[in-house]
Amino acid sequence: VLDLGKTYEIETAVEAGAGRVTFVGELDIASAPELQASSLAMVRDEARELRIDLSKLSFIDSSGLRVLIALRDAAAAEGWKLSLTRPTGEVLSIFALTRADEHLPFVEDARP
Amino acid sequence: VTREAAGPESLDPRPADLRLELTRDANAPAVARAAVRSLCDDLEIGSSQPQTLALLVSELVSNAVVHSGAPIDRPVHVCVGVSESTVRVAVTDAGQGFGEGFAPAIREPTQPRGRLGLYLLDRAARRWGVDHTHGTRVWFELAR
Repeated sequence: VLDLGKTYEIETAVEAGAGRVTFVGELDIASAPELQASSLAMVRDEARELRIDLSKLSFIDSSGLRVLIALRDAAAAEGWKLSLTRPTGEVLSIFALTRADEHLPFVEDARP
Repeated sequence: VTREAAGPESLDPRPADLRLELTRDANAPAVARAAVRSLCDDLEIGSSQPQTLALLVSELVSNAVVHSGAPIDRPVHVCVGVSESTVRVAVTDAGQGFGEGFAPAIREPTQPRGRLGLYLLDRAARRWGVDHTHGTRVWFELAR
């Protein structure tokens, strides 16, 4: 059996009072719980505004989509602001397939 | 999309192009995806299918890991057969994850719970089905 090592990285930062979680790699059942926990910890402890950067997302399945939808719902229920930096290329087609892209708070990222 | 109670016999070609036996843990979907992507490279399968194939394999293996109900030490099997026109995949586990009289409760993906994975399968696969002859086997076909 292949040994893949870790297939993702999660980085968190706070900039000007806004939280930023950068997800790099593959979002599935192995990584989705950590993304959810990191994101919720940030809005609990650090900020009322959270950007999840998905520009380096290389794969997502329903486990990952479910976490993004749950975070959207948590933001609405708890009164914090969530935005997502749009992924690129092939991954975007998975969002389109579910029409989740119509229901998630994607923004264009002005950062270089 | 056609859904059938049991797949055609040819779903288990011998020899298959790829057979995997996976430990039932959270890493299993990533291992399965890497293997099918590698197979796509080897067989020069077109540019849009590897991503769809990886997605559906990920969904079925995740289902087997999370919902199987079988003892945790029973592995998940993935079988991939590629013909000139079709890629066929079957994912089998020892449990009864779908239960008797399974009918897909397909919901809009705005809802965080529910069978989002099956919604994806139904949208993306040309045909798919479930049978319980030996454990739970979920299969699908994509055009190559």
